[in-house]
Parts: sequence; structure tokens; C-alpha cells
Amino acid sequence: MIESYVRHSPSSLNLFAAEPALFVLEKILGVKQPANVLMSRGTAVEAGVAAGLLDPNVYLEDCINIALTRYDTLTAMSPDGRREKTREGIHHMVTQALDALKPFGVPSSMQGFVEWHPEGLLLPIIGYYDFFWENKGFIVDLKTTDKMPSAIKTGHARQVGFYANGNLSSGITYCTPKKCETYQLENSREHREALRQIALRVEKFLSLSDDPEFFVGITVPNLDGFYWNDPKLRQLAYEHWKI
Amino acid sequence: MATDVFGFPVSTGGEGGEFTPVLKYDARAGRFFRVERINTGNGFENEDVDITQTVKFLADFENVEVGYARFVAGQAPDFHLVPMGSQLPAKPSEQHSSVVRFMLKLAKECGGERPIREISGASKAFRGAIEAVYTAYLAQKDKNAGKLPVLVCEKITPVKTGTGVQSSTNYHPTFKIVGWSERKDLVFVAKAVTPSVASQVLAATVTASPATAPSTGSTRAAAPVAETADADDFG
Repeated sequence: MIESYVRHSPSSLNLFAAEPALFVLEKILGVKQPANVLMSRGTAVEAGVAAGLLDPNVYLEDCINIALTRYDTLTAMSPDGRREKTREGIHHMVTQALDALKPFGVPSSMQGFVEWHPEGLLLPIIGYYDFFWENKGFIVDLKTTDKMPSAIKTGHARQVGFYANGNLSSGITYCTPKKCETYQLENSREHREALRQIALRVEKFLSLSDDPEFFVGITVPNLDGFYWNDPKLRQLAYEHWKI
Repeated sequence: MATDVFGFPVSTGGEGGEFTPVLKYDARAGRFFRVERINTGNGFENEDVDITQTVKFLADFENVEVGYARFVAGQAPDFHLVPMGSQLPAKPSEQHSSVVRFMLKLAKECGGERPIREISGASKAFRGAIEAVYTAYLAQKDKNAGKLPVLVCEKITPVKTGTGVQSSTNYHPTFKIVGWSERKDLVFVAKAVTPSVASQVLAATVTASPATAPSTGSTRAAAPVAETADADDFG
């Protein structure tokens, strides 16, 4: 096992499922990259929406400013060429997400910590949900995206299924610069179990060696996949995998 | 310290009214230069001293400035910066680039006579490198309260972008925090404008997998109907 890998998270497990070589780079070799601008947009919109949900009297403009300030703080140094264009959609996203979520009322909790010790796993799975309305038994994760999906994405389903613990109602609110939709999660228990199944495989994978370089030797980055689009990541792939 | 019309610091005495000296990074060459102002007798000229091999400095990451700047040869740079953590100013023109600026103190082995300097950079290589080490700084700063990070350039990596005639190579530095130190005489000179911000532990039981792949859900969840107050609610 790798000493530095001490817990699972929905995002690390989804990363392993989607691009094992990047999992090796980030979670085993410990080469962490700053969040990209799309991830920062999600964090920023969530901050603005949280402000508006917690205090229904706060002005929309203030919520938008909170989101923009958070976005600028997170991305001011970013070399990502999408930074300015991505920023343009934030005020629409905050506006629409508040329209969609305000009818649920003031959330009972936000950024709630969830920890799961399922049978068969050595390590726990942990995560933080976005919004929980206890009186409605409803958990929502907010996702920003450029293209509205027609259903909840599988990785997101595992994530909110885990938060819902099989007995709460849950969903994903997807926000694009143009519209916002909340989808209700179906088969919550099955998606949470899928997360456990991935975690089992991650632990089998990690049990193969204590040497981080071993895992470089048994994985290959898919350089045509969007995960490696960033030239710096492409360079890291070359340095570590020689491809 | 006062500033001139371009936003540059102007000393009010003791240093001959000069600008804050600069450290610059040339992303095309992958080199760090200490820019020295040399009095030739007929005025001042800049002399670049290459300190790439020994560059090490105390970085004032408590006072990073970000925003936009336009660099035109032969002209003073046009900076439009705000303190890190503020909303960025409007981009003044398409000729302005995103930029990051902060003050630093060079270590003895590379500092020369004026080790306290500022560095600003608009290249993606420089900003990306500073972003990465600033992220590391944020993660470690609480354990080093009251101190600033000491940085070295661990490596410089050529990164090729584009293909064919469109290709170009820039050199990306990678900084590493090698220590922490008090700021002492590294005094920040403000130049940027400040603009007008349940825990639940879940135990679980494992359920049997379904025979078919589970659908995720495409049913739109309707928002609850807002509760309306009855006239009786107000007595």
C-alpha cells in the first residue's frame, strides 16, 4: 500500500475509474495540480448560491459578487486560456441556481462531512455534500457545466448516492450559463455500492506494491483524453511515462 | 513610499529616488535575471545579471497583487492590479495581459547589493509556476504563522505547445518551498487599488447489486411549491 493514500473520496474513486494513470500521478506520486478554471467556477458559484440560500434577504448582486470574488481569487494566477470566458457565465449560473434552489428553503446544513466504513474496505470513503434540507430529507450537489446533460452522470450518481446513504432523497442541480436543471437520483443504493466496488479495486491495485514507480510501470495515460489536455500535464506524462 | 503616475514606487529618500529593483523571469529562455541599474555617467542603463543557477528568495505571498498589465518596449508597464483575494479589475484593453506581482528578498548568494525586489510576470509559464507554489503556500501557511516561504527554483522544464510552424517552446519553472522565515526588512509597498464576501457520519449496509446497470436519473425534480400564508395566520 502507498502510505500517503489514507482515505478514498468519490472524486478519487471516479478518477481511478476514468483515468487510472492520472490517479497514479496525483494520488500515488503526489503530483498535484492547481484546480482548473472549470473546477474553480463550480466552487465560486456554490459560494454565491450558498450565500443566497442561507440568507434569503441578501441581494442577488451580492451573491454574484461573492461568486466572482471567489472565482478571481482562485484563478487570478491561472495560465488557463479559458479563464475570462469561463468567468462570463458565473452571474447567470448563480442567478439560475438560486431560482431553482430557493423554493427548497434555507438548507439545514452545507458542506456536510460524510464518512463511510463499508464492509471489505481497509480505508474509509469520505466526502462533503453541498446542501441538505433535513425537513425534506433531500441532499443536493451543485454542478456547473457548459453543456446540460440529459441525465445524472454516472460519476455524479455515485457521489450523491454515497451522500444519501441509501435512505435520503438526493439529486444533482446542473447549471450551465443558459439554464439550470435538478435531476432526482434513482437507484441511490446501487450507485453507492458501485463506489464501494471501485474502492475495492483501488485497494487491490494499491496492494500490488509499496513503490510508487511500480504503478507508473503498469499504467498508460490516454493522451487523447481531455484529462491530459493541459500542456503541463502532457509534459508530466512524458516525464513519468516516457510517452 | 509614494508612487509615480505609472503606479511605480518612488522612494522618498535614501535610495536616490529610484524604482524598486526587479527580478525578472524570461520564459522564452528559462532564465532568471536580477536587473541592475548602472550609472554610466550619461544616465542609467539596465544590466541583466543571470542568477538562474542560484535563485532563492523570501516571497511576500501575504501581499500578492493580481490583475492586468501591458508591456510595451521602451515604455513603463501599465499595471491595473488589485490585492489577491479581491475581484479583478476590468481588463483595460486586449493588449493587457493577466499578470501577477509580488515583492521578494533574494538570498545572499544571488541578491547583490539590493536584494529586496519585486517580480511581475505575464507569461503562462511564470503564472502557472507561481500558482502552483502559492497553492502549496496556502496549504502550509497556518503551520508557519507570521512567516513567509523561502523559494528555490527546483527545475525548469521546456513545454512545447502547438505543432508545425505554430509550435513554440516556453520554459516552465517549478518552485519549491524550502523553508520559512520572518519578513524582517522585506516591507511591502502597497501599490494596487483595493476594490469595494453538518457534519454527518453515515454508517452503511451493503446492498446486493442489481442484475442490470442502474440508471442514474433523468427525472426533473420539481421545486417544492412555496408555502403560502393563510389569512388566519395573521389573526
